[in-house]
Amino acid sequence: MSHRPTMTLTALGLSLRDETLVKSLLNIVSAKTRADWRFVDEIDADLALCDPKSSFARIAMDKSQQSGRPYCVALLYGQDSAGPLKQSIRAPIRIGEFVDMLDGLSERGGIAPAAVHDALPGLGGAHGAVEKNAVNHSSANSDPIQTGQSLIDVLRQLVAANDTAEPSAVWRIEINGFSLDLILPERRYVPNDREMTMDALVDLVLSARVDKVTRLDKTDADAARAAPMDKAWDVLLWRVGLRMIPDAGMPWFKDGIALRLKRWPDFGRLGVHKSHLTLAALLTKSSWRSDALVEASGQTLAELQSFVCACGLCGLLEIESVPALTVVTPSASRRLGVSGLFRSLRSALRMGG
Amino acid sequence: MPREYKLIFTGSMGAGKTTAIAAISEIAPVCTDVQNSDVQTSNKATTTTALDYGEVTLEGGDKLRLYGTPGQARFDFMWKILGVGALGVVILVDNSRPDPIADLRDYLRAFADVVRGSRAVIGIGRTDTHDRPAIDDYHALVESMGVSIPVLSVDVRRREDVLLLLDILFHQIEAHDTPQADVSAGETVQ
Repeated sequence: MSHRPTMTLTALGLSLRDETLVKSLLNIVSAKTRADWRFVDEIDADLALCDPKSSFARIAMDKSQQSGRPYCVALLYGQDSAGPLKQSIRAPIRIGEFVDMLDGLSERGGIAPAAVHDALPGLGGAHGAVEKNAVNHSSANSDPIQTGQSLIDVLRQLVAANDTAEPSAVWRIEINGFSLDLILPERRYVPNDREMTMDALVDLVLSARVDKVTRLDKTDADAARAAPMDKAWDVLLWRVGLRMIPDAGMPWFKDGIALRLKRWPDFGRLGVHKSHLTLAALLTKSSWRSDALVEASGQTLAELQSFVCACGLCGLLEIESVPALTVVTPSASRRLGVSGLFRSLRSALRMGG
Repeated sequence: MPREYKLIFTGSMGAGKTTAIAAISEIAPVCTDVQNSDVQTSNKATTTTALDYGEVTLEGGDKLRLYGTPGQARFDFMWKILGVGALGVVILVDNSRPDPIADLRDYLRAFADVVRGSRAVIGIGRTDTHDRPAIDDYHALVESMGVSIPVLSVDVRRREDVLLLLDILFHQIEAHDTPQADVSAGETVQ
């Protein structure tokens, strides 16, 4: 049997509908492609299917220039242009073209040198190069990018790009007179309204659409870094996740997947709800389908979904495909938190569990 | 006949082992603190030279015995002795120390048998004043050693933080000991 290398595909800046379509197509063609392609919800993939107008496509192209991946392919609508991208595919996506795109890249074993993208004006590689070399700080001002995307999507994708962005990158997100500076390497943020409560900020993140996303020049970035009262963004993302309304389009709630936690959340900083401990314990041990996890944990589906959204936003989840028909034996469930010794320990320590 | 369980609190000098035991023990903790003569390692006034001891009475007269190990590395022979048969271990790390990652590596190795059984939890202190190493750095170390253990930012002067560490440790042990459906494999394991 021939060995198929594993390769990864992601979608950047696409609508939820298109992202879902891409995932479905991948499931359909995965047995026919030369490589074993898998969808990942992160920028660090072999191939990124991008909306070329999206700021996240530009981040991906910056990363591609620096590290050689992901290879970016534009998904175009109507008369859209691929801009600086060398390769594009038109919507609606045809299966033949989709397979050709995947096989073309896997045959090259990744990115061929000729496929490295040109530097972009504005947010792209030109600025990255200037800041990376730390030679000419004054020229690193950013052209604003009009986005119109929801703030939560912008946050999610910028955070996902954290490990790959230019190291000194600080991004300013503007929403109707309010701004939020994201300091990527330190995983911190600075709101321009220091009086804004966490609850109000969470409300804003959940409801607002972004006016502008700008990468700050060095002077402004240094000022943002020096600002007092900057905050860790995982606390914000966690709170947002707990209040998100679950959507079947979210990658964590698709059919035929199982979830696993990469590690325990830092409940010492994030705050904790009793149900989270049970879910975290199970999800760090093995992969679970949602229905099986509800059964095993004794938690409600709503509690599970809220926890999963928070973990997903903070980048703590791994998603695996599972067979459609998976049997969960009831006798394996409802053991956590009720066994004699630990019930006794919690009672003696007045843990309320 | 009443049973006894042993819970270990270990970690570097000044990480808060004595404080953590005092926060939950139902008896006045037995401490073996003396004036600290090792000021190069830690500037705290006193340090534990043998071990700290506290206890909690469980239903039916069972006892949870709480042991705090001495933090200084020259007592490391005691760490392994105390770890034998322990229900679990709470590892406390002081993030203000010169090399807290190396500290943690020492304790993970000393309690390797307990750690391998996922019967451990790690509490990182003083992250509010010392934000490096980050929690990610500790996770990287833990994962490099092939184990999966919770790592939390805590202040063990707060009783609720000590209880959080213990609650997570208990959940961790329960999950590890509980037969579960292996859904990724599409079958169940009893």
